[in-house]
Amino acid sequence: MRRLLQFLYQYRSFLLFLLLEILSFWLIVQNNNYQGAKYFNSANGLSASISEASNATFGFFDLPDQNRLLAEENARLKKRLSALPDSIPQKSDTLISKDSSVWKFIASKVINNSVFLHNNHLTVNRGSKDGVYKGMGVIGSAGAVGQVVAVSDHFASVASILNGSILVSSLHKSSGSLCTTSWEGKDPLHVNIEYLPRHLSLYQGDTIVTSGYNTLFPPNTMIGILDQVSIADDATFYEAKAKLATDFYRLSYVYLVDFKLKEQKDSLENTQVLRYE
Amino acid sequence: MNKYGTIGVFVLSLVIILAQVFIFKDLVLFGSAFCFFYVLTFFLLPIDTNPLVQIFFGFIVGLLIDTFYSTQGVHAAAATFLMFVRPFWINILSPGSGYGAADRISIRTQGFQWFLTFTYPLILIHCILLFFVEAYGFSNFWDTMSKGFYSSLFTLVVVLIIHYLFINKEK
Repeated sequence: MRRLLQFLYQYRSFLLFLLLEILSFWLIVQNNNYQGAKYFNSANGLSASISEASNATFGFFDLPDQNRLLAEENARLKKRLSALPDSIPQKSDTLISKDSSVWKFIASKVINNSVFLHNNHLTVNRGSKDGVYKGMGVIGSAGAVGQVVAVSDHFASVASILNGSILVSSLHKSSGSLCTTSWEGKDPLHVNIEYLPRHLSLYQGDTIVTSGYNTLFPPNTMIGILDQVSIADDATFYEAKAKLATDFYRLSYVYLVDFKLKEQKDSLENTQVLRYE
Repeated sequence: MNKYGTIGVFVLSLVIILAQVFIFKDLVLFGSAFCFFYVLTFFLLPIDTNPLVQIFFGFIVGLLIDTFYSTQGVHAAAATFLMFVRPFWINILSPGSGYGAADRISIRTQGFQWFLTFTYPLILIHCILLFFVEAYGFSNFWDTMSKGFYSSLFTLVVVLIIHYLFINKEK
């Protein structure tokens, strides 16, 4: 016993080092398993409010750009509005009018952001008190942004598409073929588009949108535009890269997507389909 | 610990951490050179500090930084390692006559060359470790490696500047 204590005392600093390293790696694993981010995340009240104060100060320098982006979004929406028929039939009991209210959007400001790491996160200033919950999708004015991984009362931490653990179910718009968007951890402007089979004809400039299969983003939310397409002679799938529609460098306002029927859809699918990944 | 006491070290560390998360957090050159000048806090501790305290201090500072970078545990892991290595590194670099009356590390007491040989390897290890832990493995090996290397250079420059401007002056 005495020798044991002596041993522990002799190597006390190494043991403490080991203990703290194990603790750190436990935290990292907790975080990477992205449904489980719990402690010390940027949604944590104190660090988030400090980030918000810092953002409130430095945010002014960015205002001209933000105004331009919002004006562009307004123009886009106006264009879509003018394309709608003049009189929308007022039938409160049809499926269509029900469907349009199924997606709800919560506007929110980005107060903390990173793009150069391998697993990038952003923090937004809306939390559980504003109706934000874990697993919500996040879109920006130009396209898909990410998914909420942790929520506190007034803030939420979002894993952006520039995060190794986020895969987005997507569509190649012109052919309607299903594919997957992922990020390999290098270039914050481009994402990989995987599983596009070789019988399709792909061209640079083709649009990639979200499929809407996983209730995270509304269907047909812009992801990006193909700009590198190649296929090896013996490969089944294309190797394609898309330029992201969202500019993560200057992301400032985002919308959190609330799909009201999410639970219904998920629970129905879970009873039917075994998980495959 | 007579030049500025324990409290002085903590206050200074807090100021450095705040400056890191407010000002230097989003400062990234060429998309790969990060500035982690908060490592300066690790060089503030007196030489004869209890190794246990040093390691624990590193862990806490790392955790604080992690909270702001949304990288829980990554900075803590790297900083804990740095602080574990620090006492051994100090012993190896010990001048023939020992450290004498000097009880902390600064350019004024040990000289510029010694300061550089002491800090740069620690910063380099810290940055490389940080990015490998962050990347969660060895995929993109050279990409991660170059990020670590460029960040260490950038960090070193900022550490030297801040050290000259604020810490070296205090007497």
